[in-house]
Amino acid sequence: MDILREKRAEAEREWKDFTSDKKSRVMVGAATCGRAAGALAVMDEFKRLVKEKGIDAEVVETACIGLCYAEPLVEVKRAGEPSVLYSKVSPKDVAGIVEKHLVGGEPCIEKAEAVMSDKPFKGIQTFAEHPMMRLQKRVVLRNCGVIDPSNFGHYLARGGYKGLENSFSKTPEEVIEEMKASGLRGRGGAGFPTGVKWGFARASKSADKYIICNADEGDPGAFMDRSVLEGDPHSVIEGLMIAGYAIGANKAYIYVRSEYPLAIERLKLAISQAEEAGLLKRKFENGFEFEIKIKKGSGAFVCGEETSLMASIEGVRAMPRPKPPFPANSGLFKKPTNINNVETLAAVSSIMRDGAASYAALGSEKSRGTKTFSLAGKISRTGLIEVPLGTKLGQIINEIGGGCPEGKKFKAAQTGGPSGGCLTGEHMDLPVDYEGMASAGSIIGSGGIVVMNEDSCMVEVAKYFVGFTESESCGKCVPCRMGTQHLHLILEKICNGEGEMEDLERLTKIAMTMKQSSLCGLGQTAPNPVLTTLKYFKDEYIAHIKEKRCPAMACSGLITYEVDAKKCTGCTVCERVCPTGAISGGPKKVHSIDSDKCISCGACYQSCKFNAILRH
Amino acid sequence: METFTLNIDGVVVEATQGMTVLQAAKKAGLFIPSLCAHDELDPYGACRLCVVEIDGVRGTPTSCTTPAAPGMVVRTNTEQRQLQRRRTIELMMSGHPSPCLVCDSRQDCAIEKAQPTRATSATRCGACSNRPGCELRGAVLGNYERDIGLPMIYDPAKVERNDPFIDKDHNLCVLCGRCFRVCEKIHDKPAIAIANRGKKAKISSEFEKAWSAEECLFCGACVEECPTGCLTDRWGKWFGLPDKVVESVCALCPKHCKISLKIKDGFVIGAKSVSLKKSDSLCALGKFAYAQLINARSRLTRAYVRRGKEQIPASKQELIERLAEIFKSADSKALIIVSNGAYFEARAAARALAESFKADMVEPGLDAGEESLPPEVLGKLSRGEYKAALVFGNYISGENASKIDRLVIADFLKTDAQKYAEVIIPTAILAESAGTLSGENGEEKLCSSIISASGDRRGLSETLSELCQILGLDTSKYRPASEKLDAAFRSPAADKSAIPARFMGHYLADYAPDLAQLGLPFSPNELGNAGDKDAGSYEIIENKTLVPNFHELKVRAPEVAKFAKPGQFAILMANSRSERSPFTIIDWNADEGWVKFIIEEVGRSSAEIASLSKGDKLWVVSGPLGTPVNLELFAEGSKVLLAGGCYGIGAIYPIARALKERGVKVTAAIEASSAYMLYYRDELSKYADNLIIRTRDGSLGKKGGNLDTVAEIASEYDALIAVGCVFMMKQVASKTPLGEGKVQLCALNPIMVDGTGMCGACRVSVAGETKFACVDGPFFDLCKVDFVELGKRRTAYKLLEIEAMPRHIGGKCHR
Repeated sequence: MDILREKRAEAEREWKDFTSDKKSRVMVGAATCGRAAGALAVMDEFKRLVKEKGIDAEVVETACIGLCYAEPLVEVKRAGEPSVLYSKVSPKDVAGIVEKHLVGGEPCIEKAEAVMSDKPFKGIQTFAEHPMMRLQKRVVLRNCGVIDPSNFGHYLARGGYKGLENSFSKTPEEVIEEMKASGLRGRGGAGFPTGVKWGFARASKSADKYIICNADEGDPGAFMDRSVLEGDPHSVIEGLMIAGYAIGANKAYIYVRSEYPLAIERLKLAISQAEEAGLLKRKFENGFEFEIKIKKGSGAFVCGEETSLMASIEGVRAMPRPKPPFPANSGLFKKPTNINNVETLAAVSSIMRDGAASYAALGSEKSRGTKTFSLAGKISRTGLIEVPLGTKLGQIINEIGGGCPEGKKFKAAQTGGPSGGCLTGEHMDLPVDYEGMASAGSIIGSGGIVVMNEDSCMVEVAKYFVGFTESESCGKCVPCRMGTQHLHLILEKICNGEGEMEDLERLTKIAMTMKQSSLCGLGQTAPNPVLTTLKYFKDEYIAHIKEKRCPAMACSGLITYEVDAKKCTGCTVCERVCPTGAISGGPKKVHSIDSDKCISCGACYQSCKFNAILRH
Repeated sequence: METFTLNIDGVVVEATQGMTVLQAAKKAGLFIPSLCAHDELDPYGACRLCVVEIDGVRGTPTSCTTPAAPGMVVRTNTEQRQLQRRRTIELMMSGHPSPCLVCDSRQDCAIEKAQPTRATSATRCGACSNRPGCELRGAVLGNYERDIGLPMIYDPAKVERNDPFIDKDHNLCVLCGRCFRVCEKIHDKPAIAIANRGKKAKISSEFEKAWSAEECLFCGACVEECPTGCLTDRWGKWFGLPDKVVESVCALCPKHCKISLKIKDGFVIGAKSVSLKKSDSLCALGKFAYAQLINARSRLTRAYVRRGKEQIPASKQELIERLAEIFKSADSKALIIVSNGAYFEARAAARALAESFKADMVEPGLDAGEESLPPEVLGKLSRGEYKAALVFGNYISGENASKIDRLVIADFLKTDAQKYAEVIIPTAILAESAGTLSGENGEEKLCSSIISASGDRRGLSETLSELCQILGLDTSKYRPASEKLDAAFRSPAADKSAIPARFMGHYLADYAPDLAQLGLPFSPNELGNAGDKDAGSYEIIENKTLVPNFHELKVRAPEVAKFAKPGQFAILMANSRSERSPFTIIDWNADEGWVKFIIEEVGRSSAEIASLSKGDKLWVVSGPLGTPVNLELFAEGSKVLLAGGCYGIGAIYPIARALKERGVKVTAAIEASSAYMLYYRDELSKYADNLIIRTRDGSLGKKGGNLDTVAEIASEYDALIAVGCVFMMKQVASKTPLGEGKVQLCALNPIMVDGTGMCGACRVSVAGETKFACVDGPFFDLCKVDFVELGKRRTAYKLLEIEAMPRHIGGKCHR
């Protein structure tokens, strides 16, 4: 593409310079996750010290490289040496790192996580060999945490917009064929083949068509899309342009939740960069002209559903609309519309750059390519990963995630957020792909994996997710609105020890009605956490109902605490932490708990250093 | 249009392009249950009742949203779809107070109580104004059973009465969306939509503001299209379904819209637009005020002429003769005022009279008052220069009226000026009389008489035409020309602020008080008493809502407390104009000087009392009245069964306490429609050895009512006392007697006035003898009461009671 030729050449020079070992450089991971862990303060400290000491090193910001458990992450590169990745860096650590590593040339081994090089460096393992990275294959996340996301040149230098160039050398139909050949399926959750979907929108005849990027990531525990938007916004813009070219759309909306301010900021910048470069709002020689607008969502989960999302863009109440008509025929403003998720579009730009074959070579038979997952919950290495589809659940949880921390026993993993289901220890050999997950009653969904250990009560977990969908149901259709309410009421009853065995049948009947009768995906999938926990953890339900006992000791309504008089030293710690004043005793005296005042919050249990609080 | 065929349940059905499967089925006469679907609205797909199976289509699509296609094979009623539908219905009904629909006594009850109880909150079908017209009921009956066993979810906070004209009970709402969809269809930008999510989702204006503060024009289409009792016409909702709906013309403003009037028993009980087209949309006057105005309680019914000092009822003949005589005697000093909004025929006659007798003729606008009369006319009026005047409507004040020698007033409402009139002509208005008006585009519009005018009411055109005939005047040349609407005219149907304040000189808000909430003016002495509180002397210490419609009222009444005994009652009045109604004394404390009552809201008087709050005062607490329950009948150690329902749950409480103190073994059996209507369980448990609960829907305790409890266990008891509604007591009576020599009583609470045996309103037949419930009762032999007669007597004042139904605005009752 002519307009990019000069820019790309310059960008490549700049990138070479940036990555060369001639200069010293400090790179701080400052995506939302890094910032929450204190990355900005760390960055300021580096800037201050580098300036104060007159060191010739640039301090730059990058996004999330995925090792969220180790945030804030900082890469420090001394001229002539490979870059060392430090983890859990606090402002206090900065002076030491600067002094020892940047000035003294000796990496701080105790803080070093990996070295960004092909070979180990001074005893530090390579990033590729890092246990969290070894099994990963980064296609969508190729740039995240590697480039400066606000630097257009970085994206260009790493092959950016080559996918678009390649697309322009083909007819739109050929692009669609390429997409079909790649085997890419919608990464938002439904897993519908992207090429086929584009084909439908292409076939719709209309002067105006829309393409929408769904960035309304709302599953609790999911943050893949945010990381991509924060770390590599141009990959999504390029994907949108390719999709627009393929289906014949000239306008695009990125529907992004307003809880993602940094992602919005990065997107805005990236769009203005693309406009400035002449990629957007300008007619190409082939007649293609494209415009992208950002639409901020206001925090309704149901807007992740495509027809609700379109209603929201149109400025009316977000409620799903019946299909047909399908968006490909009559979508946004009643025009043919194609909706793809962030990750799908980021994959598109990569596929069109490298060709369908290399993407299709990854993954399993019917689930090609890679998928990003966010690991959260009771897992040692929480973070963002990308693996070929078909990777086994056990590999993800134990090898990449490092299993449950503190030696606790793994109990279950909730996949696919509130629409998904839970998997158990028996599923460690299950290939994580669309077919494998479906066979176990769960879904990949958008890619959230929340790990539960022996302390998690599965009834309470189901209650949590149903409580989420209950309050996020738009209320339009009966099965979802009333079904989620009743599921939640019954689960609450069971957690409080007031359940009856008939309730289990009730749960199933309600769940099946919701699956069959609900209008949109939210209601159809909302009972999944209930159904899978009932399938795999029925004994826990029964213990709550018949024995009025929570096996995980998590349901406060079923736990009582008392003081072990033999072990109590009268230290008064429990008395002080008790929020309801239920504990009395005084210094050096054996304490006691007033069961009428006790709300079973467990604060005493957690704070006692002498194991003198007994839990039943 | 392209037609094709498809197969629905084995029937080959013809359809045209663009039809949905549901429409195709409907056209072929095949029934698929549906609720949110509406012929004139776009497919919505929310109720999920119309699910079907279609060959080659995944899952169970809704037939209301699926386009029919050639060759489609559809199955609507397989066993699986029936089950799916039943469960969806159960889910839907679990959020709609519907215990009546699964009650075993539903049919008997509907016969016994042909009219729903006029409760404030519709806690069940039997207390819902929309029972006769409920589409939900029609759609689910026969398909509704509690197969999953879901509890009913009911939230008392969801009853809203803060807007003019429209009562909103969101408990009844199933979010079918018809209301806001029809609003959008008519007004493009809807005034209402669904607010909030999930269980908090409800029909609302933006930010849950009052509709009157928003774009809502009160066209009432939402109320008309609501299939449940969620949105109702506050004034007209208790009248039931109309006998017929007749198209007419609204004469309340110069636009003269087409209007459909709902007629029942010869009365206009409501109005609606003739179609859902924007051009046919009504304003608040047409939709809501029309019926209130034509049924106003201060309508004139009798014609009067003065003889000496007296205004004496007069025949038509006398009236006409007197009119002729008055005009002849006027000596060119006469005034005629007939509004330009009156029928052409009346105006023509008035003009003919004016010309013939050289009278001053004024034709004020409909919306005008005295102040808009021409200054020279006002001057003459104030100087008393008119010898005679004919005034149609409320256009002159009492003061000016008093200065006219011979005044003729034609009007449909009573006014102050009428006491100075020599002749009062009660007129038929609106749909009561026929005549001609201008159409919007200058065409003539003929309005026909739809209901007959009662009393001496006649259209003014008729009276004046007859007068002219006698006087030999030809009115035809005076007929006004039909006129186009003025270009500056603003339609009240499109602009709330254009709603006229007056009709024939009368403030509309005096007769449709909700208009005041839209900012319309009213006469100082009319609405001034809205929600007022007469200063009684019985202070309310506490008003606790136990369950919807049921209040525990604690009142300071030391004299009553000093003498109260179990089983007695007191007569209460909320204010000086209230009806006197009896209420059982539930509890009392002579030392502290208070008594407690259970107030069940079943109509005007109880709703008035229930709307009072702590610190307010009751006008009357007169009691204790009635004969206390004879405790001597119940021996120590004997077993007594107390059966209570509705207010009776509270009424058996003092009896249980007294019996317990005597050492009697007490079992309290209580029933309610559903778990959310049960109260006093803890209170009764204090004195009852046993508490047996039954709910009509089976949501708590065994399914059924006290009749089942009595049938099951009463034989083990030595005595039985039943207190509750007539239907419950009658049902219990059908399961007795317990056996020879056993005591079985009921407590009756019929209509009373004085409560001391003087008025006889509370007559009941017991074993063929007439008794007065107030002094002989309230306790009678359960098996000997004529419940059929009692039930009939209770409905004797049905129509008056409906007309008296209070308007709740801002939680308070007002007229």
